[in-house]
Amino acid sequence: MRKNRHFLTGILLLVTIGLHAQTTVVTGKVTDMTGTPVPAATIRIKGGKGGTSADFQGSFTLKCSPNATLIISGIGYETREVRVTSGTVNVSLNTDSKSLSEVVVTGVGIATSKKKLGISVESVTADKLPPAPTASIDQALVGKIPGAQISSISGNPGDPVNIMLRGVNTLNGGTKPLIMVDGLQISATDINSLDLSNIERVEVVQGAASASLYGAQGANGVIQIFTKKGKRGGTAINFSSSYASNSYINSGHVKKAELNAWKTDASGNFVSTGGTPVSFDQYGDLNGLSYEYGGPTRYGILNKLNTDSHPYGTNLKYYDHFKQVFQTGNTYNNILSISGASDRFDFNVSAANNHTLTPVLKAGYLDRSNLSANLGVELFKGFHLRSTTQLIYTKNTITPGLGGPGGFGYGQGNSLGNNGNVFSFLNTSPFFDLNYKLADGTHPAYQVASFVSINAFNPYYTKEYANGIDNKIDVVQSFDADYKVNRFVEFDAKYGINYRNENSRWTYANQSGNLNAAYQYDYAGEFAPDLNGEIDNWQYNTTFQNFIGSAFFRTDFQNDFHSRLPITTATQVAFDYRKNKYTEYDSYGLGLAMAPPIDIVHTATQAAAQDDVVTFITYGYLVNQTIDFGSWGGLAGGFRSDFSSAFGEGSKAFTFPHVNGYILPSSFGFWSNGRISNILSTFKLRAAYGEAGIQPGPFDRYPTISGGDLGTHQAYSLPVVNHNPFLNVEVSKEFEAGTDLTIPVNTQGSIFTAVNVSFTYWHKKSEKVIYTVNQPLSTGASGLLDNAFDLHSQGYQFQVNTPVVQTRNFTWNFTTNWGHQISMIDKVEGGQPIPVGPIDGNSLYVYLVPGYRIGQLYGYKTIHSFDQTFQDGKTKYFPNGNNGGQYTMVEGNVVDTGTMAIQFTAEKYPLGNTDPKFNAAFINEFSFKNFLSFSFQFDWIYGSHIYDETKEWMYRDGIDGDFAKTVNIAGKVGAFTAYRASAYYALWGSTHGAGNEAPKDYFLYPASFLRLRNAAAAIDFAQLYHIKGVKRLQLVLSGRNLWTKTKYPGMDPEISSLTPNSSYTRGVDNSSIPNLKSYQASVNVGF
Amino acid sequence: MSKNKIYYFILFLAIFATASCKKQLQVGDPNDPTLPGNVTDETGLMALAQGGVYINGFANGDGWLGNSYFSLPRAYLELMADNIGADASNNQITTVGYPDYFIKDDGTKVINGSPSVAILRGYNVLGGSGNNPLFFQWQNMYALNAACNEILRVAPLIKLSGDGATRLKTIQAWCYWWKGYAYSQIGTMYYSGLIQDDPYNKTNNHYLPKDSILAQSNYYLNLCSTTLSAINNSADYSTVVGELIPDFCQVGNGGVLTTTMWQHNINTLLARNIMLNKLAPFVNGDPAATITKSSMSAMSSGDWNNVLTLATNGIQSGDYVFTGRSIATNGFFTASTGNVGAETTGPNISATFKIGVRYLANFKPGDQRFTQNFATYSTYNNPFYGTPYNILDSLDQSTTGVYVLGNKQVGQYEVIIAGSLEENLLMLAEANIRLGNIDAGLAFVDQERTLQGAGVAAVSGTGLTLAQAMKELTMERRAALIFRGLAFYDARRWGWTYDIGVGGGQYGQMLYNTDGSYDTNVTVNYNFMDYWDIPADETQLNPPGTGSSPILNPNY
Repeated sequence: MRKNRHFLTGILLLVTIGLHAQTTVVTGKVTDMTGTPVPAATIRIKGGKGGTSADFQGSFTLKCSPNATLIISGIGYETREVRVTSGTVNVSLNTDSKSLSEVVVTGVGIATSKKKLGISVESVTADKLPPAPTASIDQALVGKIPGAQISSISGNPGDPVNIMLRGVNTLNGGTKPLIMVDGLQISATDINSLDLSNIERVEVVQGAASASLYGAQGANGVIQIFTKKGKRGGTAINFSSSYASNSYINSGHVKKAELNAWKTDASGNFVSTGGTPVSFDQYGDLNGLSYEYGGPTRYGILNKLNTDSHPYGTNLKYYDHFKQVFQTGNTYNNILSISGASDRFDFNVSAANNHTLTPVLKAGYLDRSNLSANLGVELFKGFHLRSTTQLIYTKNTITPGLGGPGGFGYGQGNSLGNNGNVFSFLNTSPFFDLNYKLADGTHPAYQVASFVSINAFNPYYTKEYANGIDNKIDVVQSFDADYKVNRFVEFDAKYGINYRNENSRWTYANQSGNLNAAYQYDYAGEFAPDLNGEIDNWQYNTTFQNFIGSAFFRTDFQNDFHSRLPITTATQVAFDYRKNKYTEYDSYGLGLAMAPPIDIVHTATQAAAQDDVVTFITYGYLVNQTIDFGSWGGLAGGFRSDFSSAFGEGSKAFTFPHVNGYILPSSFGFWSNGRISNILSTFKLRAAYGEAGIQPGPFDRYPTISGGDLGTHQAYSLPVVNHNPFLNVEVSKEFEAGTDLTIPVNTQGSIFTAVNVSFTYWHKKSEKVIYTVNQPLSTGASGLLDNAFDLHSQGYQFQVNTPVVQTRNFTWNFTTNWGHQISMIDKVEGGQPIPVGPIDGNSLYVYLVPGYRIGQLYGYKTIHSFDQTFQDGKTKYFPNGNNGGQYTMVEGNVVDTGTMAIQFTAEKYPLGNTDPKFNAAFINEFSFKNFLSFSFQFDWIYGSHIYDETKEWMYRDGIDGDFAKTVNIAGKVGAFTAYRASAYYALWGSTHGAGNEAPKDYFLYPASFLRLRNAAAAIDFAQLYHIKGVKRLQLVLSGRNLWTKTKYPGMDPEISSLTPNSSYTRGVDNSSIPNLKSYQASVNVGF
Repeated sequence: MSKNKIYYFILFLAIFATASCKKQLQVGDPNDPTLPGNVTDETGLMALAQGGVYINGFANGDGWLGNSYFSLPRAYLELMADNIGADASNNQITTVGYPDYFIKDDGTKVINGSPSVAILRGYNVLGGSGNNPLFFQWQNMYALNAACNEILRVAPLIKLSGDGATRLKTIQAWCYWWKGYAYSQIGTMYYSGLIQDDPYNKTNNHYLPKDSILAQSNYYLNLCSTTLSAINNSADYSTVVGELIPDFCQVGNGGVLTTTMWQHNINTLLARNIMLNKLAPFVNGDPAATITKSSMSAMSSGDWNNVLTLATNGIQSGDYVFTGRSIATNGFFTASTGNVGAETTGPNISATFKIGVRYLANFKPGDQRFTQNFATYSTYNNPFYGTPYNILDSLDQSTTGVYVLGNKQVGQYEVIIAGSLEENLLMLAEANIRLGNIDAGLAFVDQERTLQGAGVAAVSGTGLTLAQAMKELTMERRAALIFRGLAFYDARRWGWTYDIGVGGGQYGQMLYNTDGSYDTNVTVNYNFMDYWDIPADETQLNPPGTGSSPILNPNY
């Protein structure tokens, strides 16, 4: 009834106005659905001249005829037409769901609709980010960005992900992109420390063409995170609580062999060569063990009579070490947020806590608390101030050696936890109980059985004698002052300070009382030269500052100059200053007392291991000009000049140009009115060229000598690697071209209404790439750090999105993301191939060779055919074929029946690249009415390979599960240890010695996988039962990494044990901690 | 605030930012010293003169098995002398010293499918350092040499305190000594080498035969000696030497050498340069054995006389020698893995290297060094290297009076870097025996055994024949000089590491079987490369110029 009254009043007013005036003054306000003002919305009079734009509060005033129709549009909103019915017109705009209308700022300088971009920018909004138990943004982004390879390489709590957006731009600098929060770089804080629940949106620009605005640090692309702001519509209170249970993936069903080839007596008891039953001694070691054939020596494994045919269970039991070490952990997440906004003020304050118990022996936890505040105020008309604060406190008690933080350089981020002892059970023979206790109740350190289990070390011992405590405080604070002087001119100044203070303390108890450790002289420690224990103090501090001052000049030829040309221009001039200061002070005390107090003061000796200050400064000037021609097309171009303390001798600038443009043929009349619009309703072409750089390491250009002490005397030594003082920035020059299009399929229906496609091809050359080239040893040094490499990369990426079903009650939205990329080496200074390694601490090398892909593993090939030749292509390995039955084929490998050894090439080959041929994600989202939703995401990584060194190590003593598998060798069937072990030992016709642990393609496995990354089902009881005063009462059941389909025989095909984000050492599973499989239940409450 | 004020403020900020930034870009590297910034005075020079030797020469690049020149690089010499064995796959330690074949007591011939020469050559590739035994000595010694070149270049430019001339001479003598040492190590190990005396360390590609490298060693050792002779201010000399030798090494046989002591050390090294690089075969008990194909010529009586003369003026009792020791922190190697002796100490199951039964056979019954140093508490089984023996840890010579073979305790074990009194005595012994003064020679063997606290009966004056005397000598030299970087060269010049086909081999050897029994008459054909090829890390980056000496030993 009330509505009707208003309506009648309106009609009456309209009539009255119509009678009395030809023009009228209309005031109004443009808001979005939530009541938040839409600043700079455009208001035009339909069929007439003139118009205006709304101010920052969405308010406008306009003269028009009394019954005019206004066309109101805003970037990112659906355009609406409204008839003037009174002097006040308040309009609420719907957000535009079509992806091309999204507004992005990253890589473009001035917020622009995706429709008007010459570059590709990917964006993900908060509602598309899964509730990963880690509550971290890096994990949540996996699979979400088309083209980007974001892989979760470790399941250790707190470890970073690998991010490679577009190929390899640098060898030393890694693949990690520039990370920004609300327009400013963060350099001190790890991306996984940011609170996922506080994130509104993420934008990604992937290569130099699109990241050229970021100059000397943009070549690896940019990930920009936008935090949540308060919205109008009353104070909102949200609370969320979740619990997850986490266990490690073991998709390859990795286990140790349950059968063995040890000597037994008639009752199945394991006995020595003399027939005495084997026995454990007071040190927890096993004595008397022998192979059935070949006696008690390591090389008995190569005796061709031995088969894994004896079960455990008599005087030796079988222990599943994987189960003993990899247990089930859990995660709690609790989040509270309060937000709101008024005309001139908005706020969003939240507190979140994430608590994760490590599943590795449950040896500690990671506890992260985030306190965030985002406050905005309009001081006077057009002048806005915003302060964004994130305070993060992280406590990590995970034991050093079992995944705990700390160690040299750890405070610089991008490091895996210290996990060296997690997999030290790999060489432990399965008849050892890791939880075995010596007579005094302590665990043995070194469980050895004379000639097997040689490389064992007991993680239970580590847990018993080592402990760690790491405290980290992060502050991410930014201020933004923005003054929109008039519709032409806007000034913006941003200053951000990012601070991180981390202190990690490792304590290794005095172990001299441990019988086993004292006897074997094998102990846990970092610096200690003996068993007397130590305390290590790692102190890291980073302060990073970023100031960006910008001036924007905008013109609209139609509105401002009364021109008929529909041209709008935007000019950005900016100054950008960044300074990073990192300090690390590492000290230790050796020799702990047996009784408290256990502190450094009470150690026998003390020393400092490192006391470093690393300062890095860069600044640059940016000029960027964009010109748009209506909605038909546009051009942008400009340059950025950067200075840096790390290149150009600290005074020579480097300039990075860029240009891009787009054309939208579907916006022309002939198209939109023509039949072609039935086939392609939106069609856009875009192309961009840009240059961007990677900074050298802060001190790469400074030649130094090494300092230190010998005893009490200062000692200098000459460097092993010399530095080029004229080092330059690494430059990536990229061209990208792409299209965005919409194919209308079933425009009238509710099923498959349209398909949206976005495709980008890119090609880049990276020049002056910095790496150490070898020097002859007779110079006294072994290398020179120089701008030594040229690389190129290319690839493509695309996204297909379709609303599969859209009815009133049910929606189903489907998105798939694809990417392909390769990186090649074009040139190396001096033409020499550069062997890099060992990259794994053992014997695995990567060769950087012109003409090859980056990251080729090199090694020996398994011979699969009697026709195999040497690299000369002529000399045959087997000139006489099977040589009268000496050789035979087993599992596709040529095998010598005399030794049962697999035959390998004598020469090394590039074994292939480990990077995938493509990576893809499939995302489905369903919702029923407004209370039920369901979503799942599959990730598909195709064509990747992993060198399974974890398996190779278990081949050493013949304890990998493979050893229990039978084969047929020239008519004899059995689980021959000599056959299987030859993969580890054999080379060059020799059955032992030369080939031990040599890299062989036998251990390089295809690692393609399909993974159910996320699955979530949610029901909102507040909507279902219309609960008064409660906006949301949601129960969510979700899972992560629940299912994996792969042929990879290791635990997890996604992991890599090497340096995170390394450019060239990738795809090696050398005792890597697999990803977590999680089941999570959450409750979300909103008021 | 008016609009204009804001404009001015922004303009000011922009100008301020531009002007103030550029200076800031010269951040330097505050964490490390630089040559122009730090090696400008005596303190800096002394720091470089010490670190250039102990860090560049003996520590850098050695973080593989152990952490110094005295761990893995020296271990290869012990492995190829069959003093120790190894099981681990790391760095080819289990293959480099494995013989081509051995014949057991029952006539079984055990053939090695991957002979040492093939292993060395197969793994001699650029960047293969981890698996390339040829890499390490070359790398360390040229780093030592380059550091000395640098010190020699900058030393005269720096004003020194006190008697500056004496101090400069002392530092120069220090560099000449270590250059002489480096060339000695290179010339004794590799078939060819480079003479690299450029003050700016610009290298050259004129590979020279080993004899030229040894001649350059002699040149620098003699230059060191004449430089020392010219020093008469002993106070400034002692001060400088006291600072050059790390304080924690100035214990035991290490200390501030007088110029005379140092010259004795030089003479021992000069004698070594001759003796280690010429054949003096003693194969299968035959002092007159010959090797028909070798990279060395045979010792002449003139050579023996030269050795005798030099050794007579060599290291004397009470002389300090060049030693290395561990320290808890700030050392150049660690106690438990910094030298091959420590790496052979402890239970043989867990020790990196295992003390061999064929080494232990060189101790005579009742030898206190055997009784005190070894135990049989764990057994390591291997077809060739098997042993029931372990080197006991924590032995202390100052209380027992018996030489300690290995020790993992901080500061206790003394690494002999260059010559020692024992080596000098045994050179005197061998030269005398070879020159026909058998009893005079054996007296030096007795003297040396007494020095190490062996407690065995004297052999001098017992009427031993030349062959018997040579047996005593070779047994003692092997037993006493283990872990001193000499063992392979001895086995080489005595002919043992040569192929049986050219007159080499070892006969009547021990073998420990996995059932606990011993073979006692095993024939071993090692067939090792006598002088090593040059590592590819040099030759691929610095290919030989015309007229260069072969970079691969042409005899293999």
